[in-house]
Amino acid sequence: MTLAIETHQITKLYGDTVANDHIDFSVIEGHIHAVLGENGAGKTTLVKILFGEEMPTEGEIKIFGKTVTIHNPAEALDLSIGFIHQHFTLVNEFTIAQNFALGIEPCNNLFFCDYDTVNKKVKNILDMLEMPLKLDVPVGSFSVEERQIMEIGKALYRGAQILILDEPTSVLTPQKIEKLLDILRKLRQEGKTIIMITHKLEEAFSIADEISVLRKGVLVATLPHDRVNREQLIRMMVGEEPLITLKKEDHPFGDALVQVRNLCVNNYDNRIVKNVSFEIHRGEIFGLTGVGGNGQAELVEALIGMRPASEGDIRFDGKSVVHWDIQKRRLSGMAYVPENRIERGAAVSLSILDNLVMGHHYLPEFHQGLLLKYKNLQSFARDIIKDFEVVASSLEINAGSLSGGNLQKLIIGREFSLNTPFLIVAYPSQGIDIRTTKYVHSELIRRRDTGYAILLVSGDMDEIFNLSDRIGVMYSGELVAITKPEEINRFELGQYMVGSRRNC
Amino acid sequence: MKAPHIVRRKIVQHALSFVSAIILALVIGLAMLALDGFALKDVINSAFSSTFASSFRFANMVSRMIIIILVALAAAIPFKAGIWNIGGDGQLAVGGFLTALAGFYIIGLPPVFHVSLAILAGMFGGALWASISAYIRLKFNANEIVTTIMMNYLAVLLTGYLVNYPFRAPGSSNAETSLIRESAMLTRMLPLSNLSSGMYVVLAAFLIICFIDWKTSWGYEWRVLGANDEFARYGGVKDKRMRFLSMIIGGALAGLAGAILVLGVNHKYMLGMGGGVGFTGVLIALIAANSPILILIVSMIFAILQSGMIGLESKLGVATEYSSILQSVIILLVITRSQAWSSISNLLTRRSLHGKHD
Repeated sequence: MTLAIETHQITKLYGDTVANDHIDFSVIEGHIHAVLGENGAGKTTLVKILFGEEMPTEGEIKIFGKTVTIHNPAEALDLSIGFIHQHFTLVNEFTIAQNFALGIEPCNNLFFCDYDTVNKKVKNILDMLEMPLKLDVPVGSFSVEERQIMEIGKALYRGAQILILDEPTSVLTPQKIEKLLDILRKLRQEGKTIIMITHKLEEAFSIADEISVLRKGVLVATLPHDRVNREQLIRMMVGEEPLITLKKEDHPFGDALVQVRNLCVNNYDNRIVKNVSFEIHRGEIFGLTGVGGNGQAELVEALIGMRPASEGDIRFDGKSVVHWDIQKRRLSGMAYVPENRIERGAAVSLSILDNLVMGHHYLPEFHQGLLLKYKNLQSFARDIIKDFEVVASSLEINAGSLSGGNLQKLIIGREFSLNTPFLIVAYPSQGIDIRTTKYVHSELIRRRDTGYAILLVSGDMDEIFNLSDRIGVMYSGELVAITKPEEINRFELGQYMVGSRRNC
Repeated sequence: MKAPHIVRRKIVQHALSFVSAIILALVIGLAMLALDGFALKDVINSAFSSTFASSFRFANMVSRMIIIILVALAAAIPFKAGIWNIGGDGQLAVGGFLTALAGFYIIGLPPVFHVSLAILAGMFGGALWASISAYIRLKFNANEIVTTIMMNYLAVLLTGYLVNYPFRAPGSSNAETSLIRESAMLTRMLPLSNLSSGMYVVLAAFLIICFIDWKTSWGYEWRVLGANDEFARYGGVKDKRMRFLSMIIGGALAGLAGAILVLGVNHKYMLGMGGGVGFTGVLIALIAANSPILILIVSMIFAILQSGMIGLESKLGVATEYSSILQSVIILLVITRSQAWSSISNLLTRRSLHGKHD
């Protein structure tokens, strides 16, 4: 049994935050190793260090028994380490061969490269991955899951023996996740070593030989998968605090606060949302789901006013708001927790205070004419930090220094404390640790019970099933189904999501 | 009035990096002059005396400084909101020209009202000129860096035509308007110096800008727009309106600079009277990271440098290009320094953490 990777006392500091605290981490060659942990536990930092995207503050790395210093990703590749990012790193306009060979093209001269050789090699790899893809079309024309697997293929093309995958299943549908896991098993048979970062216990159990758990920058334990159970793992991930279990009581809904009628949204000439109609009642969580990119994002943007509706009507509290700007809609009672926290939900270069103030600074208690009442704003911000358990040393630090989970709590705290009757919450648990997720879920239920109307957009089946009173499914821009969680099972929901079935 | 804590900490960091950059730049500048064969004692002496030897010289330095402050703020306010204003020179020219017209054609007003009206005319002219670029940017998404620079040329050519033909002072051989009425002239703080009571106007403008920046929703929304405009829009900020506003406030400040030059220094509009100070303003806004307090400090240093250089030129025959070289060195050093400073502060925090570990 040889070790593919062995780290000795790896420590990484960002400013005064300890991301990795003296970690001894080892991965057995030819095994699949799952790394579990809450957000901000230091998983991504650890693998970034292995891939040379970050340098450790202290500590030592051995790859196949040899002590190495990895300064950059190119050096990691030379050591046969391949990294599959959460986001795609493919050039959409290039073919698979052009992508795989980018920068290392076998060229005859300055102008002509030998893509036949590349294509042969690519075909071998794709065959092994059981992905018979067309070789002469641009990568952009392939689906998300195909591109995900292509990323793996690219690493293999470049000679990777050790593959590191950063939450590879987060963009995939359940059926496709199973396919990806099969591919990983196959790669294990071929002798590759695989490290997979994930939030999902099921995946770790179904595939990993060993499971490591990180918590607050410390490696809690590494255990073979047959010597540990769910309960133990969760406890290791969240510490000793008990998990809150959700209990949702049935209750009668109020009037329809939000009414969407035949809404269409265009992006230039492309119709992205097609004739969507639904309503959300007070006291109801309406779960909107679907495979990413089927119009959910655009529908939400049209609701809040960030994108114009090209046809149809949106009525809020009986009034048509379709021509109102964002500020007017927000002030009339809408709040929005966006899916992309860093691009839209926060200004990471500004202080926590500045980030919490947004939207509230229109409210009468925080301004007098143009003058902002900073004293009130500060005490209000401190309350949010406390109430929503944002871990931050002061109001003045940059929002960018918060971990993903803390930033999400900050955003949720800001939006929820507007106390608007309508909440749009998009992908609230994406990239968030279990504890924060539980917390967010219980907050959502609590608000539902006090009569808020909530639009929950999510791709996470558990989330949709556990929280929604009704479920809407979008496929190819249309709302293909509105149903209740108790009336369908996962398989049926999956069928709606991939468009093989509809009920409206 | 106190700046928020975070602002203060950033100011301190910036000020530290700036001071060290200035010192380094001066050392480099002196070394160059020494290599060129000048005696360092003479250089330092004449540079100092040209600014500080008499109250007259000092007043002229201050008068230079207040103009630089205005054009730097004119660039910094739009920068804050994430829109570029390189058009300070054009806004200054149009503002100055309108001020000269108001100063000449309005007759019979008491001085206070006449001066106020002429100043307002200048601010209006600058704001109007800036609003054109802002409108084109926000309506048609044309790059404002290009349009503000183009508007500089247009302003020079337009006012150039106007002061050469319709509005040229009778009998003058220069491209300039007639002298403004006595009732529109700002009182000189010192006989014959360039410093006028306009400095109080600038002081007031500066304080108002600080106030807007730190205490009002405008300042807040500009800050957020500059940091992440999608977040601002998401939060309900009317991005176009706020950017337009930042641009016309910037334009009004540059127009005010033109007005002060006309009412307090030249008493007429002369073609090219700004001398390209608008571009200096852009650079100062950049190195001062748009902070009003730092703009004040940096403008003072630049004003001292410029008047020191004039002294060197007249007394020792040092080439004026040294002044530009020195200013460029400072800018380069400040920009690299801010990076170096963050590395240094990282090092310091790392060390203190290690201390805790041991």
